[in-house]
Amino acid sequence: MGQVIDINELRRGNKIDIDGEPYQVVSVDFRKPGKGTPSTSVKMKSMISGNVLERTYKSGERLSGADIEEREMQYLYAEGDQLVFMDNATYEQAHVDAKHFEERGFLLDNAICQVLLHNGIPIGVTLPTWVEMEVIETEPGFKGDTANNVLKAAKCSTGVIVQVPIFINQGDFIRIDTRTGEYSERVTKTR
Amino acid sequence: MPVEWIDAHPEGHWLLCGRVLDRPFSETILLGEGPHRIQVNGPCTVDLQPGDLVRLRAIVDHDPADLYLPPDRAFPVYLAFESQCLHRPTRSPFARGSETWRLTQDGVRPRLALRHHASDQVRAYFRAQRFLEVETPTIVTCPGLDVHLSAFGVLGRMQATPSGLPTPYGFLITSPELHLKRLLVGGVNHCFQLARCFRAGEIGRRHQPEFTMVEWYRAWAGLDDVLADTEHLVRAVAEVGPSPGMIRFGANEISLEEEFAHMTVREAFARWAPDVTDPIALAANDEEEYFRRFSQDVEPGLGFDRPTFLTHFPSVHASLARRCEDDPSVCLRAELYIAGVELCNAFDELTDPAEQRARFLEDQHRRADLGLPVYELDEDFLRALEEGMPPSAGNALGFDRLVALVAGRECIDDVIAFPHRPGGSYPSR
Repeated sequence: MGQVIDINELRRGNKIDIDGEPYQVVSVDFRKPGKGTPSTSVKMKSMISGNVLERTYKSGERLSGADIEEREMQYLYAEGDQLVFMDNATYEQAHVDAKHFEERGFLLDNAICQVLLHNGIPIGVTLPTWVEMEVIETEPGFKGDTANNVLKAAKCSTGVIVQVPIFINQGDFIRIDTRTGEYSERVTKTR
Repeated sequence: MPVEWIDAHPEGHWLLCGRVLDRPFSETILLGEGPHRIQVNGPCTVDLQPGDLVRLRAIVDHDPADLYLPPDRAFPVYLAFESQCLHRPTRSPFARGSETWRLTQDGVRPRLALRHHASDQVRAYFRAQRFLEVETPTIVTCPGLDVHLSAFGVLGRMQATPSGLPTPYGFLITSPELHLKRLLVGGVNHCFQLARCFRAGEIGRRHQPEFTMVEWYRAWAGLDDVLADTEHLVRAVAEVGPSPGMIRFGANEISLEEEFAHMTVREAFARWAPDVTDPIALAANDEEEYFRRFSQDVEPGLGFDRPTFLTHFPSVHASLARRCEDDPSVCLRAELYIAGVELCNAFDELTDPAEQRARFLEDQHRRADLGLPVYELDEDFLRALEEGMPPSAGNALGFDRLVALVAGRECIDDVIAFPHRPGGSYPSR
């Protein structure tokens, strides 16, 4: 259990438990009509589903803070719908539901990721910001055509398809920003 | 002025004081802040760096007031031939959270100027109306008994007592109402105060634990007279804002040219919460629900077409207002709303000492029932009513809210130099 938070102390960014689900507070609006009773409207976003919830609390109500921990873990392998991660310090393993991944194509074997735990249960994974992958399939590149913003599709080693500049060739290694899924640069790497 | 100009030398030499904003080239420095920048060219006798507080002797061939640079323009050139660094910061004045950043980048400073002009407008209006500006105590023994207000306690002299704690001394006022009314009894027929008020536990977009109230009273007058004052005050303050004659708030433009609208609480519920058949009865039977519907459905709709006075509040929330003679379930109380923001609370004042005492006792009981501290009855005030208060009307207007509204700001923090922050880190940002 996280700590108890008085509604009057609640601030944006706080993480609270609502019916066992962790929510992050988006906005806190204290209202008090003239001669009236105070109330606080809280807008919050589920850290699991992303659903937005709005609730109104009376003055003096208490909320329970969510027990959220972010742990550095290494990706080991997939096991059906579960992905297995390991804490390299304690050798503890965590099974993460694949549904927490919008794009598994950027998850490389042995990648060091940040696993978000709620009451010790994994609820999300933050991938390393940059990944480097080999292009395994793309149209041949044209040397001369380096005009900006001309992109083509390239299939990478994990099967994910990324838009790349036209000069990229099959066998090149490229760096990708996992937050946006966009190509960043070509890297020199020997196989 | 971000840059100070100190007396012109006969040969056109000026002493120029300010903070170095930037030094793009070795012989060029920018003084000042944001759009208020002055470029000074010439060899500096000391190696100036951004953030330094400096004094320069410069040759200036313009009126200094004309020299402030628009942000996107090429700069005029002036020569500094004597420079002195008065302070080199050991903490960056440009970092987020620094005082310089807060007042300039965060835009607080121009709004403090607006605040200053707004209080001038308020004083000018009341002076023209022959009001007396007064000051009343901030520390009192009997704070208001209003059930939904809590007062800050004041400790006495910080000296050791047998228990090791200082003796409680009193409370900070939640409004100057009771003292101003004693002035009415004493014959000050028109008085006003720009009062600092304190309300514990109130912090939000439109609340601060300490804030400024414009509170005024007119003896031998009624609610309509103080509502007319209110209209004039709002217009007068908007006059010194960015859009005179108008409130620009979010995507809304609310004209102040026409007369303000009036709407009763019953009418407002009928429009925005029509399922509540009798809001007056609801207020008496289920106060919690009444205020929930009021804050959630009614308040956000008020005062968007025109500034609107909400009138005829339930008598259970009359506080210190008189009941309506033809309908005692409602009272002679009004609040002004502009763009969903409540700006003031006006009363046709209760002058009957017996009814006032009964209401105070009732408030004490309710406070006791709710487990709230029960403050003493203000016997000085009740005695004053027995002496005789002329029929009067008064209004208390949230000055910070009015300035924020005129500045087009959602949050009153934006017009306060040092607002309190939730979580008790006050006062800071």
